[in-house]
Amino acid sequence: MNTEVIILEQVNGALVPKKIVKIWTKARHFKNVLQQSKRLQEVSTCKEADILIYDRVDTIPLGCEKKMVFVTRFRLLHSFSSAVGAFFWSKGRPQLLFVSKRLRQREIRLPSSLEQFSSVEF
Amino acid sequence: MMQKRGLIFGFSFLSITVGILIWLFVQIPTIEENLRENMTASVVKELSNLVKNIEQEILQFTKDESIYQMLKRDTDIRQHLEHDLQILVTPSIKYVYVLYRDERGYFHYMLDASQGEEKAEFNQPFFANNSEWHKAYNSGEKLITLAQQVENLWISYVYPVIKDGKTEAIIMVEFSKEKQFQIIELIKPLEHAFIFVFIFIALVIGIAFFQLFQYFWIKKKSITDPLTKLYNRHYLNELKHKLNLTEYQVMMIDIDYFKKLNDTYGHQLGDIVLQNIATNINENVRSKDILIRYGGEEFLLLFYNPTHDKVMAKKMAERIRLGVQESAMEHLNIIIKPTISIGIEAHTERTKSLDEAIQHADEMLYLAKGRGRNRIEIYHESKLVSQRIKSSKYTITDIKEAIDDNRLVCYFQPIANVHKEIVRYESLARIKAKDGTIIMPGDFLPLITSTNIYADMTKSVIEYSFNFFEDKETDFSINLNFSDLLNDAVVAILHESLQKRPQMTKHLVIELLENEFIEDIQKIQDEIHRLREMGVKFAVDDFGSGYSNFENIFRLQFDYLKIDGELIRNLGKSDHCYNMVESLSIFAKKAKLKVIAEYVENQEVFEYVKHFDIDFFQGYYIGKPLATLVKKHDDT
Repeated sequence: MNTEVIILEQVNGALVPKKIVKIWTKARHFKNVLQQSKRLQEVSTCKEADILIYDRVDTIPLGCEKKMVFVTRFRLLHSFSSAVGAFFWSKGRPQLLFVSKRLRQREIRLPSSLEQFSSVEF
Repeated sequence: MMQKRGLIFGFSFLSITVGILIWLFVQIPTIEENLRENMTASVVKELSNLVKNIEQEILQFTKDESIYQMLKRDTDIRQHLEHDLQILVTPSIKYVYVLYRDERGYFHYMLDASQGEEKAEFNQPFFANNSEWHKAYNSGEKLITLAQQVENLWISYVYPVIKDGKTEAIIMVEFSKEKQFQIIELIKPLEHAFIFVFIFIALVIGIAFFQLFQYFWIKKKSITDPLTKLYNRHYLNELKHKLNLTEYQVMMIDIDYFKKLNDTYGHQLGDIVLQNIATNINENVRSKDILIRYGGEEFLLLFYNPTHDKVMAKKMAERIRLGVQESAMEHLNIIIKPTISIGIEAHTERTKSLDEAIQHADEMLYLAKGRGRNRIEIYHESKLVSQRIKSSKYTITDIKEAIDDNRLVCYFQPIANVHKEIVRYESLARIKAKDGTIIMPGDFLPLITSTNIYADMTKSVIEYSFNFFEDKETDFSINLNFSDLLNDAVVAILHESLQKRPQMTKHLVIELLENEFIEDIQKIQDEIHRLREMGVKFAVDDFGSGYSNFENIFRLQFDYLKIDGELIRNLGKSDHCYNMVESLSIFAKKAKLKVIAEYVENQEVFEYVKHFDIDFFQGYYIGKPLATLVKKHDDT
């Protein structure tokens, strides 16, 4: 299975304690990734989703502003106030980040394996 | 033994060379790796000067504050420095950036030469999971690490920036795989050259191995008798120059009645017998001894015995003899019980050469044959019955080899009547040397008289003469000693030749030379009688000198009397010779013998000799010995 799928499953599984995590995204790349996953299910409306994934700056649809966001670029963490984490590539290495303050606000506690990545402060 | 040493040395040398070559070949990856590392280090070393400049520039901007604080505070300086870093970025150098490490041990970007989407923000965390970077950060030592598991990256150059004795940042320069490929491409021709050279050297060594093997195989083949697998005479010729003769005793070994066995049971059985006997003898000798197949059924044993102890030699010979005697073999319901005769020269320290030692041993072998076979005789001066030539161009082995190689030929000298009409030819032995020159009897007969080889020569003369005269309807004579009529092998071949060509019996005259005391005259008489019954005539040769025995003339009933040539030659010079010739002529007439005068060298001698009522004449005046037949006197 694709590395990205594994990481996303683990991350989203940690953020949303459900067997099947519903994802809403406009990013074509992630649509393809989701198709490979059994734990992540793409939904057609953001209202149904547990997590919204963005790969660029965009307006969150009405009614979904409070939904949890996961981004694929570091600077998008600034653009989305509801973004709790990011997964992206830097200098050829995979990077995984969590905004610990935002996690605390949502009362999300990460498993110990992902604790080391929750170090971003703005 | 020397060949074995040479073989061992040759193969050892080549094996060591191959070992070194294989080791070198195995080292190629290491050499390549070292080359790559050196080239990489060289590239990085060039770069490190530039990186050092950047370090200096960064430090230049910091005064009392840390690098992090300075860069956090001043975006202009960050931009300026990032602009400088961008100069380093090339297709080979993919990333250039500067990191710092926080208290928790996580790296963060401070400067990044990348642009666009790839560019990292100031203080952006960077998870590299590389312990080497921490090592460099802690030690302050520059290092090069492999960018493992990072796509399209080859190596990372980690350059710690130290301020006030403490690492505050690391400058990272990361090379793309393109650089690696460039270096590999540079090394490839060298790698190919290495491989070609190794293949070439391997081929050369392979050829050398093959040629070495071939050389020794051919060499071994050339010195090995194919039937018995013993050494052959070629080996003997090589050995002569290297052997310390005084450490050995010489034994000549001959299979008894071998010709008879061959004739009776065929050559195939003869070969089997020969092989078995060769194996048998070989099993009884020691590794220090040298056993050689000397001739058809003859073996030469060089028995290692520096003390020249005769008893020891006799014991060994006896062991060999008994070993053969007790080795009866069966073939197609035929029981063969072979025996051998052995002649020994035990004191080689008294001989001048190996050939002389062989001659002595062969004389003893001849004696053993004469005394009934299946026995051993050891050389002693008093047993000697023949003369030896002290200096000769040829050796007994040369003569033996020539006879075995069928290089014994006959020349034919005409014998004419008083009207100079040729009535008969005398067969005279000659040997053709390897270079084609003709060796006269004077140069080889004394070497082989009283040896086994003499009998071989006699057999060859008989065969040659019979073959030559088979279709010529002319009388011819051959020379034998009295003792030849006691030699079973010689007699056998004579009878065989006559039985095969009965029409030639009436043409044959055997000239018997009485050159030694005859022990068994009765046996000779019986044999002469048998041959006479077949139609063969006999002449007594060189009568008037040496052993000339008048009683034998009557007892053996000769047909011709040949007056000794020396008497004829000195007729005009010596009254004694004149009287002798006259007396012999009268005697011959009374005994009803025809008289032949030899050494008639010119017309004067011919005319002189005619007065004695001589019947036949032989000599250069009548005709010289030639390879073809002279038809008449005027031809010469």
